[in-house]
Amino acid sequence: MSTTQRRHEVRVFPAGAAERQGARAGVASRTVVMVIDAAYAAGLVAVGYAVWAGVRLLRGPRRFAWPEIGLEVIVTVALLVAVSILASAWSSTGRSPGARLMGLRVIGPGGTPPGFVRSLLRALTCVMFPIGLFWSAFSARNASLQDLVFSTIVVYDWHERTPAPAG
Amino acid sequence: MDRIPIGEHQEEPDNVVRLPSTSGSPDPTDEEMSYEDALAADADADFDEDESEAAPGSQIAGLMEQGVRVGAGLFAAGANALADALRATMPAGDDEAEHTDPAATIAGAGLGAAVTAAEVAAGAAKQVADTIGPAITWLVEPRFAKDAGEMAAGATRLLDGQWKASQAELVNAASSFLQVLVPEIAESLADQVDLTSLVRDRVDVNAIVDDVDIERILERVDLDALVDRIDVNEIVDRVDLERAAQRLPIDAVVDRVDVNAIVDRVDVDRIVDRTDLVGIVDRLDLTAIAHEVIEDVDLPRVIRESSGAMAGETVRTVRMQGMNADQLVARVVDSVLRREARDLAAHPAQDDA
Repeated sequence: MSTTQRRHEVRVFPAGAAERQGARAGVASRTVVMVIDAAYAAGLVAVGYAVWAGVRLLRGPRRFAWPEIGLEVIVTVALLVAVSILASAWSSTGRSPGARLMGLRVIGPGGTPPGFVRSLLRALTCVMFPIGLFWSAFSARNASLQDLVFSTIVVYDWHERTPAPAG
Repeated sequence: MDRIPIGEHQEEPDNVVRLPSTSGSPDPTDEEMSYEDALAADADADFDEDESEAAPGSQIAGLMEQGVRVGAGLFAAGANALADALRATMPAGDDEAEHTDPAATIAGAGLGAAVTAAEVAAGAAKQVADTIGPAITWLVEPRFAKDAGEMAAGATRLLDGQWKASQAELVNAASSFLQVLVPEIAESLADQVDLTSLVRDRVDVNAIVDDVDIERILERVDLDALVDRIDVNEIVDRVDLERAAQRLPIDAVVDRVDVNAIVDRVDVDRIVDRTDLVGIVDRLDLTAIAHEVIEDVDLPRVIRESSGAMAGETVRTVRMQGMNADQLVARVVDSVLRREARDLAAHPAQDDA
């Protein structure tokens, strides 16, 4: 029954997509994911900045001025936001916002989303050393440096359902 | 007086007239006796005193006498019946009424006179050949002039006695005559008359049938017993059912059947209860049916709409392009690095297991 179910389930996908479900994703898709996630984080920071400015406007409209925030602060905040987004997303569903759009999923050694610590550390390394992603272009198994360090893999997974822990 | 038992006499009277008959007589001895001999014998029996066998008028006289006898017998029978009827209307008397019954006495007197007249006529006829003197002498006898009333009464009694004496004889003669004559007449009548056409022309059969009380007749008919005697099976065997069915207007019958009413009376639940649904399902190729259904269903759309998260066409295009880009990069890199195609299986160890 499960075989039949799977066979008809993969028909959902376009030609060429079904057989690649569960396969390791390549550098192009993952780069797109990284860009999207970065933009998402930047957007969140921008929204936060706008909200903060709005609050300030409401508190003193006469003396309102755009908050002057140092670049270091902004970058630091943006990185923190990105780390928190990625860590929470990977540890929960394995999907960051960009991965959700592109149909990718990060899974740990058990085939399930990685734990929080593993996700947090991976997120920190990804944010601090994003160039590590491009190792997947040369890796024989599409593994980035972070994947190699934290024993994670990134796969095509268009299924909405989050894989449950085995056993 | 007794009733005259017409036609009940078993013993043959000796003075019966034997008419010539083609049917023959039951008594063989009578066949040899000719008509004239019988007349002569009768004349001998009645006229012992004046025996003159060779007289030429004796045959005529015998015939006349016998005719008068027969007429007197017929008259006597009617007179007896009349007397009985008259007596029946009178109040019941004692035994002596038989002797003093005026009606009977008068009737007997009349009959006696008839007998006497017959004898006189016979005698007169007989004496035509000789002389008519004695008859005249008898008529003008001085006795008639003596005492008219006494003589009349005496004559009446005498005549009555003479009637009684010859009553049985006369009746026998008449009945014998009628026994022979009536069947002959009836037979000749039947030959002449077409009774069937007569009845058809003269009888109003419809009127008779109208008078018949059919209900009363039916009441007296035991229909159950009649039906019991009928072999229904044999009748049914002789019925050509096929032919009868062909003459039935089946369409008209079907048109009059209310199929909806019949269906309303069908207990569908009970039928379903008695049906082996599991057996039917087991015989179905559910897998093939499911495949056919899935082929016809736009599953991507169904999943998209049900999950709400499955990407639309644009997203799927982007994803496919990403996949293709991944493949392209890998192929370029692999070709540059001069190595074999990548093993992109997620968990080879798990797949092997």
